[in-house]
Amino acid sequence: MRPAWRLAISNASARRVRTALMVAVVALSASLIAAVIAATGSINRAVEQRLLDTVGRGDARLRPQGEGNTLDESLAAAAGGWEGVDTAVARLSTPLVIRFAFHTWSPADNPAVAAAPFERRVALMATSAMANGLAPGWERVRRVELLEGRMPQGPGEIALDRATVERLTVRPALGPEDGVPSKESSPLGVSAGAMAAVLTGRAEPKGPPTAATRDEAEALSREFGLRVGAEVEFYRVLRAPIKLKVVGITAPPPLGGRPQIYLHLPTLQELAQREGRLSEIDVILREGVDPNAFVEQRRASLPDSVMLQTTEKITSGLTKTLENQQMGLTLATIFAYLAASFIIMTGLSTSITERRRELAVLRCLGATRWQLAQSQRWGGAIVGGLGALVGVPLGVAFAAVVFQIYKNELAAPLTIEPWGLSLAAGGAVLAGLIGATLPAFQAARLSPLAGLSSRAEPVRARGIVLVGAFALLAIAAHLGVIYLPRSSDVLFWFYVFLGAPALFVGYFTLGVPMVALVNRALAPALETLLGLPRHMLARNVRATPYRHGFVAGAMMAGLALMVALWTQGGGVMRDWFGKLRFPDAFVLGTGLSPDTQRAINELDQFVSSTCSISLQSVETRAFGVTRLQRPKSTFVAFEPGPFFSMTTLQWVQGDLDSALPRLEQGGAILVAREFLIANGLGVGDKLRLTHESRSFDFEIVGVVTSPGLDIVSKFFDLGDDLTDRAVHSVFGSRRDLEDKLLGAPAPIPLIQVGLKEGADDRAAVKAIRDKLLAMGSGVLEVGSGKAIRRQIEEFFNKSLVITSAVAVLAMLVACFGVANLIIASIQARQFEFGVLRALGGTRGVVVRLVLGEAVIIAAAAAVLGTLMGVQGAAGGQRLNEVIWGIQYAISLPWGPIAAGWGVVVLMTLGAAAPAVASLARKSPRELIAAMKG
Amino acid sequence: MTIRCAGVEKSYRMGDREVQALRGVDLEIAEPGFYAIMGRSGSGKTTLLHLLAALDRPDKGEIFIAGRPIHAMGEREATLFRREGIGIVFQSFNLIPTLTARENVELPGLLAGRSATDLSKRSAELLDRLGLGSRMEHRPDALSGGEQQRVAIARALMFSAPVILADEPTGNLDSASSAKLWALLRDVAQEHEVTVAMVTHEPAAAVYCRRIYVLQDGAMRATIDTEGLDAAGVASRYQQCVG
Repeated sequence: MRPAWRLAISNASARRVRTALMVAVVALSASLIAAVIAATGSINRAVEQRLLDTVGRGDARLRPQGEGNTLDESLAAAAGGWEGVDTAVARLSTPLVIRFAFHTWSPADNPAVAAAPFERRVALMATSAMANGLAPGWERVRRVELLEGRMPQGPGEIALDRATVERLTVRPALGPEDGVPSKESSPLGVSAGAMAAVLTGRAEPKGPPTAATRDEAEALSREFGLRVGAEVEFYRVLRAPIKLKVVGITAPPPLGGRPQIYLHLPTLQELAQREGRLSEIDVILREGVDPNAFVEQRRASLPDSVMLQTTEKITSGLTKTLENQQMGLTLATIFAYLAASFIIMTGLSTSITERRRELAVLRCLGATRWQLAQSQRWGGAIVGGLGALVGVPLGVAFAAVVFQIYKNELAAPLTIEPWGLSLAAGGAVLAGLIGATLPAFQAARLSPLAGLSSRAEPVRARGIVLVGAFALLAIAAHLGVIYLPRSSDVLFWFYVFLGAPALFVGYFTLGVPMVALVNRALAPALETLLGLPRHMLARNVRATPYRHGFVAGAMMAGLALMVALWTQGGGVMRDWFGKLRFPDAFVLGTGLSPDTQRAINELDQFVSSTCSISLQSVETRAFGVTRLQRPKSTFVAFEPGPFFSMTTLQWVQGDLDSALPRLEQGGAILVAREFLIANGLGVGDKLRLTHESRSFDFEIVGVVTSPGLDIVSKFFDLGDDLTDRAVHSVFGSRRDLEDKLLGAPAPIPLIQVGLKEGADDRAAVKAIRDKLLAMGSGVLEVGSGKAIRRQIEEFFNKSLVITSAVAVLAMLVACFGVANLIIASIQARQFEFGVLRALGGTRGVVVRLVLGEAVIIAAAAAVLGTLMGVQGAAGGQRLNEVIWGIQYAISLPWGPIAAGWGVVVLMTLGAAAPAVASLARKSPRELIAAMKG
Repeated sequence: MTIRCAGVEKSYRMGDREVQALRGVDLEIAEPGFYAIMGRSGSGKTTLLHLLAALDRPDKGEIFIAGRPIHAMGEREATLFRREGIGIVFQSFNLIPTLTARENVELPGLLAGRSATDLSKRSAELLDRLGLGSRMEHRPDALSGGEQQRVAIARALMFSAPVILADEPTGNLDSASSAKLWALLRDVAQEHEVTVAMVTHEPAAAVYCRRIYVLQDGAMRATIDTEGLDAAGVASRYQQCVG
């Protein structure tokens, strides 16, 4: 081991710049992976935390059937007495609107005429938050981080989380009469957040009207601010508001979850007019009692309207999601490092070609094949190890900086998981070792006599043809994988383990024949353009097709990613998202009532019609991959008549005239077109829907484009989205949902609002919001279809920009590979350049020759990247179609492609520039003397 | 017997042509000393040296170096033999450009896994003896041609191998440096009691050698004992042999 190690060290240290460039490639990949792993690990922990807070840390929980329904409080007492139960903890969660008279003393608008430099401003702020009623024993099932004060222990007390405090103390940007929230909620990650703070009018001012100094103004702002000891109020129509004393401030839910407030259970029941009602009961079992057996035994004795589930079952969906995410991360890591290992392979192979004589001498002196191979492997391990050493801490530091910058939005600590960092570091070393495999083989194969010979081995066309054939075979394998399987399971697994790697390896190796082709096509024109002697550039590139080809292969990966993202993203936005129909306006909440609907209908200057919608996730087994996820579908339930009077859906199969009577009659549903695409389910087929223990075979009477209601509810995190991951919708009557699946009344979490022709949607939303706020509870969000479409598009575009940045980073990483090649190529040909200069060639000729080679590499990379990106996008299109039923057409985004080509050419020339500049500085004598030794 | 070849034949392909490089060469060197293998370009002398160095295998015949049958050695055995059984000095020095003079000398020992202390001591001793004590930490590009070749000789002496093979060692040196190097190789052969077999086409070298083996068209044409001959006499005998 020692000799091989010493040889590797000596080689690495003798070519410091090139070693450093390879280390930089691995370090950048490792830092990217470490950052992503650290960030997702932290977000996952936060999601788990949120889920545990939502589901509770008990062994089982009792819930009513149907989102938003409630249980009778007597059930908690009964459950506490069941055999095997240690404690049953009652809980009520419901949205609540609270108000606060926000006082600030801030600089006067017009100091010249003001009585004092600082003036009092007062605004009555209101916001909706999820209120939690705390019953004795709540600490055993929920974890709340208290930042100040204490939790409520009796009537008239409230604790607010930091997010609620922030919403109620946003300084109005506009005048108090505008009623426009100055801080809009923005979609970030998991949840778009609920309703932001809203100005609701003027409040009775407190404290002095002015302050003389900044210190005094700040002291007054603090004294009358929202802190422990302050008062907030719960507003009621036609009745005096109820004052609540703030006794504690808690940490906000992580990742921008809904703001939370905490009250004594009876207080909340009274405020929400849910006396004697609970939203769930957490059950803690005695030591040794098996939760599954307990649930099985107890379930039979419970009425249909009550669900009893083990906590493990509820959280298993998320656990599976997190496991899937880990698998996804592992795969992404593999691909990132595979790209790095290709660059290392090219670097080390170039070094082997350059050191043939040196290696032959070593063989003559008694070095075994194994020692030379081993020295290459050590070389790879050194590059990988140093890359990990630099890259992993860099990535973690980057993630820490991002978490610090977005600490308020994320509200989650950075969690460094050992498995993740081991994956990043181990992957980097493995990338080095994989990259060294071919060079090790080449070194071991070298015969001492052949190595000592000064004759260069001619490049055989047969070799290039064979590499090309292998590449085309791999590319064809990818196409076979995406177009042959019909089953989503087969397609997914084949794609992950065969299709995607084949695509990657195929296009990487296609670099060799592609460079030969591009060279043939472009070199004559480039020679003329650059003023080079005829055939000079073409011959130079032809002499080392593998080296140039592999570098082009490494360079194309970033562009391919960019092309695939934009091609696929454009298709999804245009053909799938573009065809979704969103309601003109909507009201979201838990516990909306016919009164709410009636109040909206009264706004007849804006509103033309309304329709109450129930949403329930149900199992269909129509989408997803069996071992990974079987997402549920959303049953969108409505009164068919009113719904179709205000909603125009595009009918893919069937028609309204025949479907409407069947829906009203019962036992029939409409399905979104994704069911037809993914599973071929159409009119006349039966689809089994299951909720808990109830199933029913519904007849499909129409296939329609989705009205986007399920997306609205998901976007605003309505319902138990963490545990019930649902995609695509089926549409049926509320009666069918209640009778055939729930066995209980279906609550109304969403009211769809139709606006009059020409009505201003912003003004309408404001009017609805103001009216519903005055009514008090139950409202989480009022919004317009246009607004949600705009927000989703903004979110989507931001995501595209962020992922494109990753693609540009991948190109940057590949630049180090290009720089490495150019340096090696220049070093290997110094004598040749020296002779050229000695024979009268100018510096310019030499420089243009090397730059011409870089242009050929860039052009080949651009063609390869575009082809691979388009084929990758086609793979994504097929996966979306078969697994998710999302269908869209692919059309090439020429703008981003052209930009990508420009970036590739510029980066390649940029990577070549330092080496070229150094070459230009050398005299012919120095260049010729390079042969010495 | 330090070197013995019997009926050695070797042919190889050059493009479409088959070249018979050696045609039944017999050679015997019984005692340590400085010997030359001479011949015109294309006579087969380098091919013979490659076979003696176990870099290649004969098509026919036997080769023994210090009693070891290298014609029958497998790949690995030949590699290990090259490491410790012989020393090689190349025409173009073939020092590793990224290593210092001392590290180049230590290279065979490093490959054999010898301890760093022993190697350091031995390399210093050899370089000192060859007049390179002050140049040990210099890389090849900072040494003159003669100095580089002395480093290569020190490297060949690392394991005190009984046979040193030199392939045109003065091919890249001027005449004064060449004369110094031949004298050095002769002294090395005497001092270390080793057999130094040098391939050369320069008659001027012959005067330093104990015997000259003359190859012509792949066959051993003659042997010339140089004892009692001056440079002109050796040159005249050699010219007679090669026509």
